[in-house]
Amino acid sequence: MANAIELSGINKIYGTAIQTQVLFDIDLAFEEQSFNSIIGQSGSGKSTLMNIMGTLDRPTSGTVMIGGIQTSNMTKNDLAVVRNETIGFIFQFHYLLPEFTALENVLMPYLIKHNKPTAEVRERADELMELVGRSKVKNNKATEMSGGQQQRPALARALIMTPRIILADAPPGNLDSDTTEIIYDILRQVNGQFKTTFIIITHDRKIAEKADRIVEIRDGRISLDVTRPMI
Amino acid sequence: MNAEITDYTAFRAALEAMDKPRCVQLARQLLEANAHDIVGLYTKILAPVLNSMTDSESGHPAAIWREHVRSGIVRTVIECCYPFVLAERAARQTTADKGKVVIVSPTDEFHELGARMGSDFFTLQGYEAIYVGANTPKAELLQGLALEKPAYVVINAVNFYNLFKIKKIVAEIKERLPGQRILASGNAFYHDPELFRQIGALAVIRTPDDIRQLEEEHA
Ligand SMILES: Nc1ncnc2c1ncn2[C@@H]1O[C@H](COP(=O)(O)OP(=O)(O)O)[C@@H](O)[C@H]1O
Ligand SMILES: [Mg+2]
Repeated sequence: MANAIELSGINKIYGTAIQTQVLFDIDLAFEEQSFNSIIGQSGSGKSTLMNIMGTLDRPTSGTVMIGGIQTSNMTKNDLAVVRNETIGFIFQFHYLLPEFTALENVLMPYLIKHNKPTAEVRERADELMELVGRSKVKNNKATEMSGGQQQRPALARALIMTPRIILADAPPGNLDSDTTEIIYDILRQVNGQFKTTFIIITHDRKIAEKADRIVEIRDGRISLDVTRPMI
Repeated sequence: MNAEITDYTAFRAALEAMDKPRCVQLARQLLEANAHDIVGLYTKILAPVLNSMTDSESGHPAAIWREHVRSGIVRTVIECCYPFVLAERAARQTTADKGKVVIVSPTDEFHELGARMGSDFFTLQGYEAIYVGANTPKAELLQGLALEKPAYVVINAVNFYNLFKIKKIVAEIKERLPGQRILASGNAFYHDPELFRQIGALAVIRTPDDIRQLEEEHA
C-alpha cells in the first residue's frame, strides 16, 4: 500500500531570538487506508507534528509528502488546494457555527467553495448525518445543541468533502467515554467504508488501543511505534 | 483419525459446551494416559482451542462473555495440571535449582492464560516460577523483584497498548535494579521480532525452546 503521508527528517524550531527545538529528525510514514493513533505527554510535540503533516505549518527542515506529492516547494495557494482536496481536520470534535443548523454546518466546507449545494452534495450530507446517527436533529440550530450533541454533526462536516486523510487532534478530557466509543466506532466505519486514512492524536486509551498502529512521541522524538498484532 | 486430532476435537467440544467438569476430566485423562505431556496439552490443545473459538465467535453479541467463561474454565484446567507439572519435572530428574522467575502482566493487562502456561514451562525447566498474574502495578513489581531477586522477570502483554507502559517499567527496573534480566512474552510481541528489543528486554519467550536457548546464550 502506498503512503498517504510521508515525513522525512522533520525538525521544528520555534522562535528566532530564543529558539526551542520541539521536533527532532522525525521520519514517519502512514499507509493509505490505515487507522493510526498518536499518543504522548502534553508538550511532547504531537500537535506541532500534526500541523506539519497537514501542511498548516512548515517544518524548519525536512520534507512532507502528501499522497506522493512533495509539498516543500509549493506556494501557499497550491498547498491550500492540496489540503482542501485531501485532508479533513477534526481539531475539536464539537463547535458548530452557532447560527446555522446541523445540516448547514455539515455543508459548510462545500458552501465555502461553491455557492449552492448540488442535489448530490445534499444527499451526501444526509447520508453522513445518517452515518453519525443524527438525522433526526439535522434541522436543529447549533445553539439548540449541547457541546456533546454537536460532536457528531461536526464529524459529518469533516467528511463532507470526502477527504482521503483525516487528521484529528482531540483535546484531552473533552469527551465522556461512552461518546468517545461511539465516535470511535463511526470513525472506524468511515475508515472501512470510504478507505479514509486516519491519524488521531488521543489521550484516550480506548481510542488508542483500537487503532492498527500507535506512535508515541516523547520530547519531540518517536519513542515507540507499534502495530496491532494479527490474531 | 489421528489421536492428536481426536483429543483436540473432544476438548474443543467440551469447551464449546462450556462443560467445565468434562474439560478438567479430559485434560487429566490425557496426561494420565501419557497421550500428551504438559507442553503438548497446553500448546497443541488448550491454547489453539481457545484461540480458534475466540476467532470463530468474534462479532457474536455474547462473544466476550463466552470468551471470559471459557478462559475461566481453561484456567481451572491449568491449575488442575499442577501436580502433573511437578510429576513431569520429577520424572525428568530436574529440580528447581536454576533460580526464581517472576512472571507478571502490567496494570490493565487482563489476559493471562498464556503467561500462566509459560510459568509452568519455567517450572518444568527447573526454575522456581513465581506467577504473580494479571494487572500488577509497577510499584508492587519493583518491590517484589527487590525481595525475590529472581534470575529473570518475564513481563507479559497481549494488548499492544501495554507495550508503552512496559517500556517505561523496563527502564525503571533497569535503573532501580541494575543487572536484573528482563524477558518479554505475550501476543503483543510475537508479530514483530524487534519489539522486545525496543522495549528493552533481553529476549522474547514463547516456547520451552526459547527458555532453553536463553540458557545457552546467557549461561
Ligand atoms: N507557536 C509556538 N511557539 C513557540 N513554542 C511553541 C509553539 N507551539 C508549541 N510550542 C511548544 O512546543 C512544544 C510542543 O507543543 P505541542 O506540539 O503543542 O505539544 P502537544 O500537542 O504534544 O501537547 C511545547 O513545549 C510548546 O510549548
Ligand atoms: Mg496538542
